[in-house]
Amino acid sequence: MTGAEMFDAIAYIDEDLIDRCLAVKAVNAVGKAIDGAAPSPERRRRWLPYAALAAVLVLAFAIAAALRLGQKSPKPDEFPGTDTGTEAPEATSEPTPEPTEEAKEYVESPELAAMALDSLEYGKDYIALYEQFGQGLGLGEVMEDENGLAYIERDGKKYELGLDFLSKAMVYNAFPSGGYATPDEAYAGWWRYYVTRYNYLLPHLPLYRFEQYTAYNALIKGTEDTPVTVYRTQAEALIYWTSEKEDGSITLSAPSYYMDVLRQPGFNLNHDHLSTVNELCSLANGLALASRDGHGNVIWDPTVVEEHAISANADGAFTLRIKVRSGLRLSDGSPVTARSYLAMPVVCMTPVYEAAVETQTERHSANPNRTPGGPDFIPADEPFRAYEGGEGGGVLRSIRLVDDMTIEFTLPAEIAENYTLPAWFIDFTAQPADAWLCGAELKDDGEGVYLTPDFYERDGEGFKHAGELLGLCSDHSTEALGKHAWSGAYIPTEAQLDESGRIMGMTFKKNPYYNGNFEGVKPSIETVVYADTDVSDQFVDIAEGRLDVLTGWATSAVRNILEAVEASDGALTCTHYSRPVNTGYFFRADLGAAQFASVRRALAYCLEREEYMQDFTGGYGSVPDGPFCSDFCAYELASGRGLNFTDYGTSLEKAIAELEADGWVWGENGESYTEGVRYKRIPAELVSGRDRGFASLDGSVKGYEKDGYFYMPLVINLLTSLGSEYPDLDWVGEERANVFKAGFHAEFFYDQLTALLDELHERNTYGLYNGAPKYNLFKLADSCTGSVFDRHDLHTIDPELYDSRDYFSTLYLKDYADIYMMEP
Amino acid sequence: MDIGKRIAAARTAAGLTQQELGERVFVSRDLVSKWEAGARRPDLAMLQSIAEALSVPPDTIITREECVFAELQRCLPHGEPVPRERLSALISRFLRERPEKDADLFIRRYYLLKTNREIAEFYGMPENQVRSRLSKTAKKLEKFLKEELAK
Repeated sequence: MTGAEMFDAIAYIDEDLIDRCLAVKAVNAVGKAIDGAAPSPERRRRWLPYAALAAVLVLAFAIAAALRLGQKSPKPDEFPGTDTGTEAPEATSEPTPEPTEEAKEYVESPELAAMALDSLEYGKDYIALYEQFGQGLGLGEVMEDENGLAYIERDGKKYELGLDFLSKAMVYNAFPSGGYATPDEAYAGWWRYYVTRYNYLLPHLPLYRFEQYTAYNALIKGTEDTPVTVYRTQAEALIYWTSEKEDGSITLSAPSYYMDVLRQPGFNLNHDHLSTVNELCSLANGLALASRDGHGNVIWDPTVVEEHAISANADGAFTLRIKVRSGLRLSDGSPVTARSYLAMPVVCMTPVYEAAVETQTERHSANPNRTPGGPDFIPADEPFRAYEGGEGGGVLRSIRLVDDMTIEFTLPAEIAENYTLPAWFIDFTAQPADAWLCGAELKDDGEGVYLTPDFYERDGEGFKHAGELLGLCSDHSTEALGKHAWSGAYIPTEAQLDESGRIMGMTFKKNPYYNGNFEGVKPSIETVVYADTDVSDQFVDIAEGRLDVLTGWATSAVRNILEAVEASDGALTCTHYSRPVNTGYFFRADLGAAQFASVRRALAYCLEREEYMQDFTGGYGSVPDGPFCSDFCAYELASGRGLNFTDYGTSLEKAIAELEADGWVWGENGESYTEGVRYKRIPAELVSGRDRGFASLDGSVKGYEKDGYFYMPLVINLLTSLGSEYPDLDWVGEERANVFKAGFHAEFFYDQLTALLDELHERNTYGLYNGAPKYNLFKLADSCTGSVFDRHDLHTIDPELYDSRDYFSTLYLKDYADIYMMEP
Repeated sequence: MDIGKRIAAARTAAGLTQQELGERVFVSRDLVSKWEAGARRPDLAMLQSIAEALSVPPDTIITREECVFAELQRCLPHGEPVPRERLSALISRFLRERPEKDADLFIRRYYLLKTNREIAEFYGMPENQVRSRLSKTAKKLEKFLKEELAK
């Protein structure tokens, strides 16, 4: 059967079903008023649990249903999915009934186990190794082999621990065990095994990472002890500094862009964010329930949270109870209560707020931290969201106002089961509740919070309070800034706005009531000025004292900063850190040759990454070993036990050795390899339609079947976006290059970013994906500051979870070590 | 623009009434009206006939991508073709046994051919939750059909 037959069959389903469906009324307001109510793919959070299906994997799953071990492999024209309009290159087929002795030889690469899963049933034939052995396992039971890879022994058998196992263990098994005395040490222990395996399997080949340099006026003290780092923005760091300038102030340059919504800090603040974003907001809005410490940990802020408790509910949901400390104050001296944390998120879920910001959509959409419709963890079927006007908005069951100082959140099972730390998305800041509530009340009669009906009061077609809310969020005139209280370390007191009301500069004064950051530290510097400086003049500005801190990372910026520091004769100081962004090659590790670690490692050995890094960064950078930064809390602890990453320095010999050991030793006609493109023999029944259809971009190199084996070609198709024409791509298609000499066929294609995204995610968001993946390598950048390395969604072997992912991620790697085969 | 509106636009451009288009493709004026209102959806052969009757390329009415064949394929167990009537009856039965919301999402996506975003906006749901629920329904349908067809 085909999709087309299904399409037609659905056209004739019972009409009463259709009529029933058509009778359903559209849900008004929330989610409709603003384009992008649901998170766009590009803004998908790593933690998002129910993050939907991989539309792209449709083909793979259809093939999975079709292929069964022991069955005859489908011919190309029988592949499910060929009715999608995809013209998959034909693989040649020369069936021979009895394979020769020689033809029976093939290298049993461990990845073949992962390829075989398509024909097996999760839960019946196999499960994740973590499910079998992970629960309660302590690090004391874990051993490591000669490559530093973790394994355990059970019943005399050795089981390597895969990436899925290790990423889960970091969250659930970070308890003292063996020589790991504290939870932090245990976390770092699991993390060390994870990054070691990541480096070994190499789903992503980093090319380079810039160093970020920051210059400081030497009259600003404390910068050496508490510098700007990956995990500490200027706004977070300056609380620790003092100013010996005459006026006791500090002047900072504008971030790369200014926030234009000072009062709306957003929800689920992305703790992976780069250091220059969100500066003004975090200065003015503070006392968040959760914070980052200076090492990448997300913590319940001890200055703010007196008690917190998490309980698992029978339905799989989590309930979090948080008690806010008494004695916290807003900038006008008024007390902070539970309402201070709930007013903003609740109001943001109402049609009144949506109406307020409707006219500001364009400006708001420029704010990367804004999540329309409230926090993402509130289920979509909450009656509160279904408000249709006139009678109040219903009760928000997911949030409880237990008493004046206690809040309860219920996180649905879909989120809870994703092993995510709740603090990540309940990092609300304290806000002036009265301002957000516009005179209405936030109540809870025992079932959940709600807003009193006067909040929804109508004004003709609109809402009476929409204008107030708009002013609260968007009016940054000096007069408006003083109208309501703030909770951050500093209070904005004076704004320089452009004609459209955008913030171009701002002056902040110390908040006298601020209770301190997560360490209880209060600011010393009286005045913070964010100045609207011309980028091209910044180096002069800092040299001449008009600017006190300047940060930069591009080669020329770094040189300018270093020159300014050197010429300052001690008037300027400098610190630097590795930027948490890796630019590099991301393998589609389940397509063609790229699904074999030997191939990924061989490509790494072929490339001249050190040279590329020097080219791009001017020497102010490094070649990373993996998706982490050395400022990360676990790094130092893990380093103490030794981080022995594989040295992928350029070596054609090592590349060839990797390939030969893994069976890439066949030629284009089934003969032993001598020259040209290498092929690998794989039992034909294991090979999916995706792999059979995968060929070089020019169509000249494709797989073929012979004697019961599929001969997979060593083909790398690289896609990079336009504007990325850098010399690191010299290796593609060049006969002089190592990749050619090693036996690869490598091609690349430049395309628009939209086309790249469609290919990357194997979905047709921009109408540029034709239904079958053509590329198994992408050149991209990826941030890597994540404090919690729970990446199990990128490594799961459970089809349920795999299927529920929002879209294909190139970071995905199905680790063979995570497969535990059940007894028949 | 949805399919119904495209049919209406192409019909108007061709200078036909709903009655006249119905006569050309051998259906009632009422059904044409329902197509155009988005209350019913033609099958592939009918879409082809409509395009021919209106002298427009089939892509004018519906693109191959909009037919979501690839997504539908995941609902299908591997095996021999099944008579259309039986398959339709089985799908109807399956949808009756599903929670109403899941059945409605399925119908909006695969009968009315709405995009996930349109559905999300209609129900006030996050788009990813729409996809997730559709995905689960598709898997259950595949299992259901597999079991029923094996009987």
